Amino acid sequence: MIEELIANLGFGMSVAVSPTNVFFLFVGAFVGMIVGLFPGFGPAAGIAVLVPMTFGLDPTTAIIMLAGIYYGSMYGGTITSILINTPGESATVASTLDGYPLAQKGRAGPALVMQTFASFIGGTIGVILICALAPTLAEFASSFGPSEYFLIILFGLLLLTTMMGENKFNGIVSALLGFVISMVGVDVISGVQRFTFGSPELIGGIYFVPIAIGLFGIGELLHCIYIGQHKKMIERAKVAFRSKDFWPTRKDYSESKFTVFRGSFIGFIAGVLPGSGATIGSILGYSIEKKIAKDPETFGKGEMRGLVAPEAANNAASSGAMVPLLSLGIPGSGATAVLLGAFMMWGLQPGPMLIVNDPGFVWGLIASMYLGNMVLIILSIAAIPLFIKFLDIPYVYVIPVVVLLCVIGTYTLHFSMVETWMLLVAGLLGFCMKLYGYSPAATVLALVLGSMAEENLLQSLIISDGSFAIFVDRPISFILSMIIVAVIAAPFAYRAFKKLSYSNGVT
Amino acid sequence: MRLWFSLFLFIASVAYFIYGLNTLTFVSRIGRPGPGYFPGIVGVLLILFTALNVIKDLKAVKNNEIQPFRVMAMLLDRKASGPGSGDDRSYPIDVVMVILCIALLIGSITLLGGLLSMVVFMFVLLFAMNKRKLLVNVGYSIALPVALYLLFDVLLNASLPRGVLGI
Repeated sequence: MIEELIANLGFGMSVAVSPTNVFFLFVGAFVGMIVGLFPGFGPAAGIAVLVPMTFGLDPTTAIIMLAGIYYGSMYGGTITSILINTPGESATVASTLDGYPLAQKGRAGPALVMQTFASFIGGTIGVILICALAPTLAEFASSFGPSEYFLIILFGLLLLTTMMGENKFNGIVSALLGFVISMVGVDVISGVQRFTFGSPELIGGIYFVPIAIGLFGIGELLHCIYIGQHKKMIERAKVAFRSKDFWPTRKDYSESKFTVFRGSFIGFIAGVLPGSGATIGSILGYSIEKKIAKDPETFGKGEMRGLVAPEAANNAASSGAMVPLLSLGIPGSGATAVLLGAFMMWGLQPGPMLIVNDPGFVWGLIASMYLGNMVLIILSIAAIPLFIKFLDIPYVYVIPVVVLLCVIGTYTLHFSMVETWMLLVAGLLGFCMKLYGYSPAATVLALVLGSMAEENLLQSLIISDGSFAIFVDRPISFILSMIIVAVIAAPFAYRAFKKLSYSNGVT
Repeated sequence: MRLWFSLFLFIASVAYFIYGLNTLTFVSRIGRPGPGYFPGIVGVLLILFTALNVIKDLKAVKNNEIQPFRVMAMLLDRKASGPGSGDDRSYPIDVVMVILCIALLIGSITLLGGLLSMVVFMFVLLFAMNKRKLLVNVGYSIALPVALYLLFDVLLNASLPRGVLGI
């Protein structure tokens, strides 16, 4: 098992370590850190906006660069959490709880170094666990039929929508909207045109990239403008780079040594679960650390463990989210959905056979994640002064960069004006969705998985002569169906239980 | 505004379902699921959930939690349109302005060409949002489009459209 793991990683290294790949890995990690720095512009938007720029590259190199953006943004997002009390993206929200108080205490330097250290350990543990888990899961999934696949897609979408708390209906509507968009074009089974309104531009379907760029890029940008990000005066904590106090103390390391491992494992498990991802992972990492601490009252007041736990967790979760993506072809978050779309764009067929058919790609990508973590620890510490300078750029100058990259990037995909207008429509939709508590991530996930979901549902029904019993006939289908029922029923059962215990309390 | 968005989604869902019903077959002649089968299921679910959202929003209107007719007031009041003051402020006018600028960029890209349309877009946007720094705006409006032009047109070989001036 261990020999196999090392051999696979070695093979991946032989693919990933080429001058071109390492150069684009640096570019991806660097861009990812910048993406993470700007509030409201998360990894999904960063990847979607930069997909068009990777067209001239080899698929492995392109995905290595895009994956670099993905985990680089986790590193970058924390810099703003610590220095300006504004998370660069949702996965670093938990890091503000103790990160900013640490900066206020004059410990911004140690906080930045410790977050890099925790992110590195989290990312590295994540990569090791991917190596162990992805092939096993892929092997197990190779026996899956269309009914199992349909149920897994349904399960992923359901988890993503149930994670939305009070806005579950909005989450479901968001996912259904993604399905609606995915159904435009020629139906692969019957060959009939659907929802094309006679337009030749729509016969091939709606391409996911303009929609993803619109929803994540333009939509997020408009939302940031709406809440007045461009009017805010940024006051950041000062960092003394040349002082001895810039580095963490021995106490910081010794206090956090177990925290970093706990956070990593919790984050990885959260990342593997579809719909959960880095945000939930980091919040879970923080809460559990606080709960088991002997001095929980110090959390929220500048406790180093309160920063290390969510940081290790969100990086491990980003690696964890790669497991269902690489072994099942099913992404668990908006960012991995965009990555999946990019896989398909380069002709890769995601699913359990990806590891068998394209081992160079899969292991090269996994090895690049390990390399990426090394690149990021160097970038994070050596280039902190440079990244901090980016925080001083007024948001009003960031707006045109994002808009131009989105519009020009979309236009150069197919040189299509229809797609470029679609970008604007998707941007408006994304803005409204963000404003009213819908989930653009669920829409993109459903858009990318829409045709796969439909194909698997129809194939299952054709096999079973139209009987829905196929979804409970086979053991795996049965278990999946039961889990789905449990996920749907759990909130109702919880509400009924709460009501019952409340009425008991009253009487 | 939330109510209007929910209503829009509901009406769009109904239109989508009716259009699908009229143009696609739910079950094929041999009894197998047809091209309208999956869209049909999605349409029904969309109608159901968007209707539930509309009902939820109508209840919120009744309880005065949301005010759907404050839309115009929000647009006209440049500074205070959010619930409260200070950090709760929202800037709908600025959003509308950026949307119009993006529409201007997309609409002029084939007429003016990639480079020129980017310059015009940036100048209009920065002039509207950052009036005080005119010189910086002009410099930035030229430097960024040129950099992007070089990146896409020269480095990535993804030629941007040429306009009336041939650039």
